[in-house]
Amino acid sequence: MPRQQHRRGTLTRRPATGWLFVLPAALIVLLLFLLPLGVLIAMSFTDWPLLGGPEPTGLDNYTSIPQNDLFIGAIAFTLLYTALATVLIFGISFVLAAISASPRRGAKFYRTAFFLPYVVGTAAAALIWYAATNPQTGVMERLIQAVGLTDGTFGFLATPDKALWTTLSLVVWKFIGFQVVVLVVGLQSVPPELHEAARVDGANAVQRLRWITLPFLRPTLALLLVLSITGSLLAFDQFYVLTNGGPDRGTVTLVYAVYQTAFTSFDLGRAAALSVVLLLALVAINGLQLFALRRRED
Amino acid sequence: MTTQTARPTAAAGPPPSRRRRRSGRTRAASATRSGVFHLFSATAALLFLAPLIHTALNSLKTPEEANARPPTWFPESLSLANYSALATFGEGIGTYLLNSLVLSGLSVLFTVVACVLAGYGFARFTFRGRNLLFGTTLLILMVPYASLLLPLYIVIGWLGLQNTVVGVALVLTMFQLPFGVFLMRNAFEAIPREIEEAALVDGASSLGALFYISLPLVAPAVATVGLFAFIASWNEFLAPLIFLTGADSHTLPIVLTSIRGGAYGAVDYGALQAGVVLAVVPTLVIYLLLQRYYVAGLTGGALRG
Amino acid sequence: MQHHVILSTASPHPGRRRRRLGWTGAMASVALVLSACGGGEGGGGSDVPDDGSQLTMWVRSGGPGELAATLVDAYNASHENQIELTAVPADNYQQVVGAAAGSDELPDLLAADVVFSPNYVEQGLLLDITDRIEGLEFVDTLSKAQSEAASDADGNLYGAPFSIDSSFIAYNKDLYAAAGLDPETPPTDFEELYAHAEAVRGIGGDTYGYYWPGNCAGCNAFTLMPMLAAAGQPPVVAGEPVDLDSEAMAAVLELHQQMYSNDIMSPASAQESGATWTADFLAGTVGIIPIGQFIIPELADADFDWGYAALPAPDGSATSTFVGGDVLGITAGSEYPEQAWDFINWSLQEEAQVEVLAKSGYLPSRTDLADNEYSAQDPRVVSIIDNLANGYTPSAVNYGEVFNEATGPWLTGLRDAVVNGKPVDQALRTMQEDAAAVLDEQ
Repeated sequence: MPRQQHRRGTLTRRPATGWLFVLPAALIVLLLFLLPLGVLIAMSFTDWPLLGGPEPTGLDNYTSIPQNDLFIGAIAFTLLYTALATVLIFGISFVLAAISASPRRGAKFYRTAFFLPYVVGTAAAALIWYAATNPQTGVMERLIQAVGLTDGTFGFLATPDKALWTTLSLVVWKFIGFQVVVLVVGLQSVPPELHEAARVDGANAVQRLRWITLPFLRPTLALLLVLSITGSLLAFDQFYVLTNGGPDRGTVTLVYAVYQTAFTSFDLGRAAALSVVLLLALVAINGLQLFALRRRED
Repeated sequence: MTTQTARPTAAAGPPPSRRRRRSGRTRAASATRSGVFHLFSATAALLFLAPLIHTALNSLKTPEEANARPPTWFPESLSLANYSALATFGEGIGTYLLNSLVLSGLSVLFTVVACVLAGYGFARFTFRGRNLLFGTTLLILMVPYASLLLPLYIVIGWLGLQNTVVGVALVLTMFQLPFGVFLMRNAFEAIPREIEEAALVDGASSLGALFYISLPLVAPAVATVGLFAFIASWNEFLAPLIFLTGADSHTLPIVLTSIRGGAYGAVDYGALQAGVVLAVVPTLVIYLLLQRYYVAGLTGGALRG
Repeated sequence: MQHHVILSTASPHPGRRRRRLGWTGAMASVALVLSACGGGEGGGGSDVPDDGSQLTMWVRSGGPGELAATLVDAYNASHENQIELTAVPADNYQQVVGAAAGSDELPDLLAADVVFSPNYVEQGLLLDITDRIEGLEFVDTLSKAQSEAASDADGNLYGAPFSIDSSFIAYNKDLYAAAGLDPETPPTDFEELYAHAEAVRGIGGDTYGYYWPGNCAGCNAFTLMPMLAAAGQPPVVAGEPVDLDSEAMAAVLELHQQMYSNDIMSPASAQESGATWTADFLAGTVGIIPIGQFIIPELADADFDWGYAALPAPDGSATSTFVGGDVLGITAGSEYPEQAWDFINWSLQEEAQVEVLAKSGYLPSRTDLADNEYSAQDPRVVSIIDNLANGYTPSAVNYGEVFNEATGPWLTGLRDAVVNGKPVDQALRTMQEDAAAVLDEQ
């Protein structure tokens, strides 16, 4: 395409113009992301007190990570939570997306209903759950007794398992709307003629889903998967507000452990080392995911 | 708020072929199927709306009823007492609402300006360090937010922005960049270059081409970026809590936490839920206003990896 | 501290006078602050105590926040100095203080939960005010337990008592009567605690004998530690190794384990995070609850009669109370130490203690003012104040990590024994080891 090349030529003649456009964002990234990240990395090699000068401690903060029970214990829980949250959100969002993308009357209303919780802040959403699951004043306890599932107090946050599932219900409620809308947009980008043609050729619904819809949705799904896994691995707010990591240390996520090391123990150096390890792990995981998804596409 | 959105989608009627094949029997079957669809969908929708409706209703109970054990299903009498309790909380709820509004407004402004310009730059120009910068921006997604706060606090001090709303707004903007830049870049890439080319030939500057030609076309994406920035900063708790320490500088989410914390055995659930309602309503309204653009904004952007 | 002044630049906001420094400036001032920590005077303020300075003060939200607001309002109304008070959400006080300390953004006056004040002292956030406090003619009447929490290893004082929260047992006299117990005979040892609770549970239905904040670390420290202190086995004493694997602690765990497994304590106990700690008792469905004096104003509206009992040692040989609350200190970087001290000094005078605090229903922090015209109206309040003399305040750096966090060894061990049925000796061993790993490493 010679015309295209010509045009690129005029636009890129002054690459400085490109820099001018990205400058505000670049400055924010440099000053408020890379610089603090640098401080964080520097912290991770020191004993960093609240007041006074930091003392270099070499790799001590890193070599002490295996002894940090809270953090090590949080690895398994965070992975479990990530797996459950991702499977639940993906499974349910397909059903809800199918409803929302339906040509039937009312579909748009349903889609709005599914998305609305997304505009609620995590803290506010957690407070709604917090109030509703209170054993004494909460409506959920009364509901579950009215349905006849339990006689006494059920205790939505009473055991680690219950606390996990209660939090998962919050997460599905709060975050699924975004995924549904993105899926709907993806579904609408599938040309209807393809479905028609396949139907004429005798393909059933499952076959059409497998051979037409899914291939079209692949980039969407890749994006959602990366976002969902990254978000879940970094989960913090919902547990901080709703469960406080309890009961019985049962719902401590990795970021929760980092937060506690930084802000309860004021062990800033060690918290920084944990953060750096976590960041590297996430970069590796996301790199692997993108690599795997690309390869499958080829 | 629901009647407006309950209208059938205008563009997407059933494909003609399906209509053609309808006989009497299939019409009955399709009516049944439609009934099942709506029963299932409406139940699901109700599940999603119930927590919000329940909280709104609770906030309208009298303080005694809101803290009743066991709880009542629906308010036995309506009262605004929980809201008036909030009105006199601390510096008065108005101060906190205003603080939240100012912080969110600034964040939205910064985010939209930075993301539109950067999105355009990434979409239209090649320059040294382009991919590196783009990749670095996406890296922001992978940093544990809580652990970056203390280093940020130190850096904000270096920049002389400690205890300023601008400082916090910039921090919140930073966390919005990955999504916003990504979306805006894709939105601009979806616009054919030919459209701008004509203007450039006529002597318009790159900035002029962006403003007068492309920006109106990516308005849905801009609305989406702004909406997400608003939702995020309106609801943000930790950053304003730690960065803004003046007595009258707290934002709404901080006040909600204050109502809940520190009062052993005496959490006022009525005031708490009234606070939640106040926190939710503005984002709800803005979302419903922008909803039309929002889906279109994602169409133009997020899907194109 | 003169360099401080030179480095300082005026803030455009009149309400704030925090220094704005570059990085090198911050490091230099940090060194200066550290070197000046021995009790020097600050820089910016004059030596006139009430010269119309604008001071800032932080306190945690909730009870202490309300108390502080009452005091500050009264002070501002009667003084040239004006204090701008910020009530920081209680759950996040540590984080906010920690972050601000790192960037030299602390207020002039910092109220600190007594269980966290050792951390602040150790980190050098507060100014040494030993001489000022010892210069008060009523110094001997200030709570010993609180003063210890605000002092360093050498006995230097960094804070004055500010608000007092004291724990005790409240019991429902109406339920006692209904259960055939004598309403005027409160429990005095663990045997009676169990027997009384069991009898009240015998009423049946939704009425339970005992309420336990089973998922609240701080609540349990507040109500259970005095039982250990009364038995002469306080778990945390400054300068000594932590002692949780004690006979008294085993008795405490056994008592709660039995009440839990025999359905004597309310089933809501296991999940109680503190948010609804008092709700069942206030509703009249609980016989006995170890609680704090913050419940008293709420009990005024209760439709039953309640009684007071001190927290006993397991064998009833002695009683004690947790002297919680806050101490108030001047931050090391404050430019107005004279003016800040003026507020502290004023808050400890009889006028403020009686006519502001006691009048508003708070406990005065001076024992000589315990018996005043306002507290005298309720003999139970006088008993509470009297028992402060036997009071206990644990003092240890990193206390919060062990005893206040939901994920700390304290609550984990309690729940293991009471809720999860782990043998008491095992739970205690684990609790002791994990707590020692944090506390004794210092």
